[in-house]
Amino acid sequence: MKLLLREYLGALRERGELDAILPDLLSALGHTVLWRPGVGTTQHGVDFASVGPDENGRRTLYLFVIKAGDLTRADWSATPQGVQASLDEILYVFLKTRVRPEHKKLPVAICICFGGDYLEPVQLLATGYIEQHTTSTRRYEIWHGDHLANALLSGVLREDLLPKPLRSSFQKALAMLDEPDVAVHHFGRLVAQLLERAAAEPKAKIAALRQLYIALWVLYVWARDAENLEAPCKASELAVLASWEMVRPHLGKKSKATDALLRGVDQVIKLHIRINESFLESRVFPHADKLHALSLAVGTRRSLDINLRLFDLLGRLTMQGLWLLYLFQRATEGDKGPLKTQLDRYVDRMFALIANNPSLCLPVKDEHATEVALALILWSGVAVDADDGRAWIAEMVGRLGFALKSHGLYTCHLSDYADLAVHPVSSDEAYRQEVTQASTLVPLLAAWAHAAGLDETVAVLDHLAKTVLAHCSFQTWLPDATSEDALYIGGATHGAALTDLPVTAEGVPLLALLAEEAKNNASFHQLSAIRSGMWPVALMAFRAQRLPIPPTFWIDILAPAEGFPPYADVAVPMQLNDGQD
Amino acid sequence: MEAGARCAKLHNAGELDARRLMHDPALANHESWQLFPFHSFVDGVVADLDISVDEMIAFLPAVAPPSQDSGLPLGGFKRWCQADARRWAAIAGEAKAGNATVTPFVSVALQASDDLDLISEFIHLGGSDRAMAIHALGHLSTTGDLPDRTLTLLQSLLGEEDQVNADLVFSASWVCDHAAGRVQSAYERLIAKAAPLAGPKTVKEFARIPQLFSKLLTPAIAASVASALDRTDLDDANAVANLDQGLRQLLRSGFEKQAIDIVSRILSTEGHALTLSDFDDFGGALKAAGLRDQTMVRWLLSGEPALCREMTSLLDVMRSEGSPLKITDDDLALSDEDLMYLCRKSAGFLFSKPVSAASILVAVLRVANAQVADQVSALLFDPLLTNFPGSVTRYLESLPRTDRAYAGSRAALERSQSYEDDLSSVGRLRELAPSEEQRQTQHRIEREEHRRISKEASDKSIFARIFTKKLVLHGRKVRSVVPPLGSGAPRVMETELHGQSYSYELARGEIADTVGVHYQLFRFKRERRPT
Repeated sequence: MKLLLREYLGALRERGELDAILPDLLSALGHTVLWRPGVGTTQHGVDFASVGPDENGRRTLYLFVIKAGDLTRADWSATPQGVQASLDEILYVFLKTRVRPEHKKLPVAICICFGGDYLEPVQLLATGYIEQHTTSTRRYEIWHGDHLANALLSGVLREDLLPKPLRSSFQKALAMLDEPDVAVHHFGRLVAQLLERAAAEPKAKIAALRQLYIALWVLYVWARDAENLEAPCKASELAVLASWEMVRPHLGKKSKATDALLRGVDQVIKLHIRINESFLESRVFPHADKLHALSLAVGTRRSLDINLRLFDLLGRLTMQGLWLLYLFQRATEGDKGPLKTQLDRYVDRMFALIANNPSLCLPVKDEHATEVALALILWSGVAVDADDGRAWIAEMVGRLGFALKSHGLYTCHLSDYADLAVHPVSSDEAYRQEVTQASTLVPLLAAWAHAAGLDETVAVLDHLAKTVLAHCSFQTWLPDATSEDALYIGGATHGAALTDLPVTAEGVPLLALLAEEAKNNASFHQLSAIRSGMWPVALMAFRAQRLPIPPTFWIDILAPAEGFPPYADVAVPMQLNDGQD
Repeated sequence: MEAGARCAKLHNAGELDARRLMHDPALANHESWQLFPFHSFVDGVVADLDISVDEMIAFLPAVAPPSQDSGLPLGGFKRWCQADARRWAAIAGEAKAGNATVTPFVSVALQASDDLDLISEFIHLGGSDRAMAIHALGHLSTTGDLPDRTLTLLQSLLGEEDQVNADLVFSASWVCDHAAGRVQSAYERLIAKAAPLAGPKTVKEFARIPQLFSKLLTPAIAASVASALDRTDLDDANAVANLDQGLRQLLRSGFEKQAIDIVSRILSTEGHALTLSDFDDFGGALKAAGLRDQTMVRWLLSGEPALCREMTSLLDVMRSEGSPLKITDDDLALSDEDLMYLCRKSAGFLFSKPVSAASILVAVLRVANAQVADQVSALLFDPLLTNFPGSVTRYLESLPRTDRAYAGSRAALERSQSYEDDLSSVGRLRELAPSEEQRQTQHRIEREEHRRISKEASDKSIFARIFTKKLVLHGRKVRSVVPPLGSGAPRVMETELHGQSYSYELARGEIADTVGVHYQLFRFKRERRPT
C-alpha cells in the first residue's frame, strides 16, 4: 500500500495537485488548516499553513513550502521561486509580519513538502541551511514522498479507517487500470464498502469522503501515468454519486459536520470535473475536427463498438458541459465571460464530434436516448447556432427510418452486449418487432423535432409510428417517491414509466402530455439533487443508472411562449380494432 | 458409310443377304458410343439397298432399333426414297391408310417426295401427321422455286396453335438457311407474321434462330426475333435460359441494340424476379463485344434499379475491387447535372467495385468543367477514397500526368492523404478501446461465424464429392506411403503444403459508420434523373 502511495505522490505533476490532498492529510492528523492559497498567490513564501500536534503532541504552527516531484538543486536554488528563496521569505517577512496573534507563541515547523525523493545533491545544501536557521522555537522538516505516504497511512488511510478488504479493492483497482471496467468494478466495491462503513454518523462520513477523495486522486494519477484515463473518469462518476448519497440526509441542517460534508462533496465534484477535463482536452478535443478519427481510434472491426463508445463519450462530454453550465449559472458577472467562452467551446466541440463521427447520428441502443437528451439540453442551454442541433435531430430520424426499413443497424431496446453484437439477427419482421417493442428515443426525438419546427422530420416519425413501429410502445420515465433512496447508488428499480406516448404528425399531443405529467411529477422536484439546486448530480445519476432524462427536466425548454395546452384538449382519441373512435 | 454401301452392293448382286442382319444377335447390344459409326454404316446399307418397301419398314428398325440415345437412322432411308418415287408414295399411302408401322418413316418419306400437294394432304390430317408434314417441309430440296412455294405454304399455316407455329418457324428457318438467301424476303414475311403470335414454344424457336441460323439474321429478322423474345415467359427458368442464349447470339451477330433493348425492357418491368445474373450468356457476350462499359453507363443513367442493381455481375469476379471501365467522351455527351447524376449513381451501384466506380468518375473528370470537376473530386474522396483507400488510391495514382483527369484526381488524392494523416495523428486512445469482455464476446461470435461459413463452404465444395477429406494436424509436408500396383516396394510420396489466402478491401465506412454508408448509397441509388 505504501508503495502505491509513494508512486502516486511521486507522479503528482503540479504543485496544485499536492495542494489538493494536503488538507485532508493534515486534517486526518488532527491539524486545522489555516488557509489554502489560490493559484499564483503566496503568503511570503508560505504555500500552506496549519496548526496541529507534532510527534510529541505539542501544538505547533506548520508552514509548508510545496514543490512537485523530486527536490533538486535547481528547485532549491531557483530564483525567484526556489525553495531557499521561499524559506528566506518566511524567515524575514512572514514570521515577522504575518503570524496571527493567537499563533505567535506556538513553536514553528517550516516544512519543505514534495511528493518525490529527497535527492542527495540538494540534501547537503538543505542540511546546511536548516542547521543554520534552526532555533529552539523554530525547526525545519522535510516532508518527502515517503513521509507523506506514511502520513497518509497513519492518517486518513490508516488501518482502522481503511481496513484490509477496502485496501484490497483499492489495490486491485489500481492494478487493473489497463482493463478499466475491471478497475472500476473494484473501485465500485471500495465505494460500496466506504458507504457501508460511513453509516449515519457525520464524522465517519467525513472520513469516508476524504478516503474516497484521496483514493480517486491516486487512481487518477496512476491512470494518467498509464496513459489510460478511462477508469478514473468512470470512477469519479461513482465517487460523486456516492458522496452525494452520503451528504443528502444532512442537507438543510446547519452544522459544522454538514459544512465539512459539503466541502468534501465539493472536492470530489471538482476532482471529477478535473479528471474529465483532462480526458476531454487531451484525448478528445484535439481530434474532434478530424473526420472519423475518434471513430477509428476505437480500434475495432465492429461498428457496434464504435457506436457504443462514441455515445458514451458524448454523454461524458455533455455532462462536463452541463457542469460548466451549472457553474456559469452561479458565477458572478466577472467570471461569466470565461465560462461562457468555455461553454461555447464545449458545444462547438460536441457538434464537431457528431459531424465528424457520423455513427453518432443514430444510437444502436435505445438507452443512449439519455445521452441524446443531455446533448440537446446542453445545446439549448447554451443557445448557439440553432441549425447544428436541428440538423442532428433530422439526420437521426432519417437514419432511423432507413435503418428500420432496410433491417440495418437500427435502434433497439436490447442492452446486453452479446445480444447487440449479433443485432440484427435476421431481416424478418418478427425479429424487428421483437427488438423494437419499446422506445424512449422516438418520443424524445418527436418532442424536440416538433419544438424545433422540423415538420418533415415529424412527418417521418409519424409515418414510422404508423408503419414499422406501429407495435412499439413509446415511453419515458419519471421518478417517484422511491427514487430518492435508489437514485444515486442504484439498487432497486424505481420510478414510473409513462407509456404509449402519442407520436403523431401534430406533435402537440405528445408535448402537452409530457408537460402535464411533468407538472404533476412532484417526486422529481423532491429529489435532493434537484431541490438543492445541484441538478447536474441528478443528471449524472440518471445517466449512471441508464434511465431516460425525465421530461420534467427539459419540457419547459420546448414550451412555446404561450405554454402547452391542457392534454385533454388535444388528446389523441383511442382507436379500437374496428377503426371506430 | 462406304462399308454400308459396299454391303448394299453385294446384297443387290445377290452375293449376300443383308436381311440376315435383322436377326443377328451381335447387333442387339452395342454401347452408346458405338452408335454413330454403326448408324453411319446402316445409312450406307439402306441408301442403295434393293428391297421392297415392306421389307425396308421391317429391316431398318430390326437392324438399328431406336433407343433412349437415338431414333432410327433415316439419312440413308431418305436417299432410298428419293431414288424411286414409288417408295415414298407407297409409304405415304400406307400412312394415309392408317398403317402405324410406317409412322416413323412418314416425315422422311415426305421430305424425299418434294411434293407440296402430298404434304398439304398430311397437314390437313392434323395431329401428328400434320407435325410430321410440317417438319418435312423444312427438309425438302432447295431446287427451283420449291423453297419459295414451301415458305408460302408454311406462312399460310400460321395460326393460333403454338406448337404448330413453333414447327413452322423452325421449318421455315431451315428452308431459308438451305436456300442460300434466295427466299429471304418470303422468310422475313413469315417471321414477321409469326412473331406477334408467338406462344412459349414459338418463342423458344425464335430464340434458336440467332443460334442455329445466324446467317439469316437481317435487321428485319432481328426485329421480329426481338419482338417474339419480348413475349418470353419470365417465370419459366428454361425459357429465360433460352432467351439468354438467343440474346447472346443476337449480340454476336451484330444486333447489339436489339439485345440490349430486350434486356433493358425485361429488367425494367415489374412482376418477375429476374436480375442481370439470370443473363450470364448475354453478359459475357456484351463484354466480349466491347459494349459492356457503354451499356453500364446507359443503364446507370436510366436509374432503373433492376438494371443497375446487379450490374457488378458484369464485372470481373476475380478482381474484388473491379477493373477500370473504358468510357469515351462520346459516351458522356451529357449536361452537367446528368454528369453528376451519373457519378452518384456509379458510386451507389458500383460501390462494391470501387475501382470501376472510380473509373466512371475519372471519365467524367476528363470532360467536366471546373465546377463539375470539383464536385466529382469531392465524390472521389467521399465515399470512394474514404472507404477504399488502398485500391482506389492505387488506381488514381496510376493515371499519367497527361491524363485530362489528372488534376481532379490529384485533388481527391491530396484530400485523402490529409484525411489519412488525421487518422494517423490520433495514435492509440486506450480509453476508447472495447472492454476485455466485449472483445471476448466478439471473438466468440466471430469464431462461430467462421466455423459456420467454413462448414457451409466445405459442404458446397465441388471437391467434396471428388476427394475424401483428411485433416493434417502438424507439419508443413505430408508423407504418404503408397502401396504398389503390382509387385514391388511401396513408394513414399511427399507433398508440400502451401498456404492459400484471399484478401479484399472492406469498405472502411462499414466499420466507422455502417448506417451512414448504406444510407448514402441508398440516396444515390434512389435519386431521380434531373429533368
